[in-house]
Amino acid sequence: MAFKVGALAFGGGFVIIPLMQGDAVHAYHWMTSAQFLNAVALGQVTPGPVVATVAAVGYAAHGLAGGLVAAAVAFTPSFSFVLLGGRRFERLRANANARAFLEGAGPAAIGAIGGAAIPLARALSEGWQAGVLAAAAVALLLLERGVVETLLAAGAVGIVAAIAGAPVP
Amino acid sequence: MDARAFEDANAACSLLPGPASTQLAIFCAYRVAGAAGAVVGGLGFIVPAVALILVLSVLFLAQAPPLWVRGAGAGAGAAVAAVAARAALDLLGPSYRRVREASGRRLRWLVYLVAGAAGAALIGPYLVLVLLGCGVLELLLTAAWGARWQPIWARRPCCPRLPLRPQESERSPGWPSRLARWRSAAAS
Repeated sequence: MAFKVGALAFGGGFVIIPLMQGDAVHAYHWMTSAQFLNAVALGQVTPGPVVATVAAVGYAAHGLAGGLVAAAVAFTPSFSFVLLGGRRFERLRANANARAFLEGAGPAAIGAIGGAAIPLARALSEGWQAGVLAAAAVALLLLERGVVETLLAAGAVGIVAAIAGAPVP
Repeated sequence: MDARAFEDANAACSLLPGPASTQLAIFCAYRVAGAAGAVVGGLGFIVPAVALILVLSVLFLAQAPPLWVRGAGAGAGAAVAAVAARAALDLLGPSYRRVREASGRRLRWLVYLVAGAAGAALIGPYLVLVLLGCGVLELLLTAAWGARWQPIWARRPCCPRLPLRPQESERSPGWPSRLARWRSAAAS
C-alpha cells in the first residue's frame, strides 16, 4: 500500500487519502474508519508532505516499526526518480507521452479526491460529528478559511463535546 | 540553479508519480551536492514530518486514548470530508483551464473526473487502476489521433456543407437566357 502511494499516485498529494482508505480500513483492517479519519487529520495539521500520512497508517498496522517502514517504502520511489532521472528532467518536461498520460490521470485524481469525501463522510458514526462536518464545509468551501485552522477548531469542538458527555467513537 | 532549470524541475516532478513537493526538494538538494546531497536534503524534508506524525499517532491511535484525545480526534476527523472537497475544488479550476479551449478534450476531462470520483466512492482499493487506466487511455487516444483528437459529434464537417437549394449559378438557365444564347449563336 505504501508503495502504491509513493509510486503510483498522480496529481495532488491528497489523492493518497482515497488510495489508502480502501486498503487500510476495508481490505486489511489495520484501523477503524474513525482512526483513519484521525490519521488524515494528523497528516493535514502537521507541516510537511501529505504522503507522511502513510506513517500513521503504518503505525496502526505494526507500531513504530510499521510507521517507519511505511514511510521508507513510500518515499523511496521519489529518491529513485530523482537520483536516476534527475539529469533528464528537462527532456521529461517536453515528453508528449508523459504529458498525455497526466492529461488523463490528473483529472481522474481530482475526481478521486472529491469522490473520497463520500466514504470519509460515511465513516462518521455520531450525530454531532455531522454538525461539525457541516460547519467545516461552510468554513472551507464558502468562507475559504485555512485547512489547519479549521481542523484545529473542529478538534477543539470535539474536546468540548467529549467532556460535555457527547458519545465519542 | 537558474529560474529555467527550476521551472523544468517543477514541471518534471508534477509529471512523475508520487509526491511532487518531496521530489522537488530532493532535486534541489541533488543540484547542490549530488547524490549524497539528495539523500540528506530529502531526509531533511521528510523526517520532521514523519517523526511528528508518529509521535501524534502514539497519542491518537493508542488502544485506549484519554477522553480529550478521543474527542479531539472525533472532532477533527469529522471535518476531513470537507478538507477533501476543498482540496478537489482547489485543483479543479487550474485543471479545467488547460482543456477549456477544445471541446473534445473537455468531454474526456469530464469523463476522467467522473471515473475518478466514482472509483473513490465505490471501489476503494482498486482506485489506482482507474487512475492508471485514465492515463493510459488518454495516452492511446493522443497517440492514435494526435493531441487534437475529438469525438465524432464534436468534429467540424470534413467538407463544406452543401446548400439544400442549388446556388443561383448552378441552376438550369431559364428560357429567357437560353433564348438569348441561341440568338447570339445564330447571329455569329
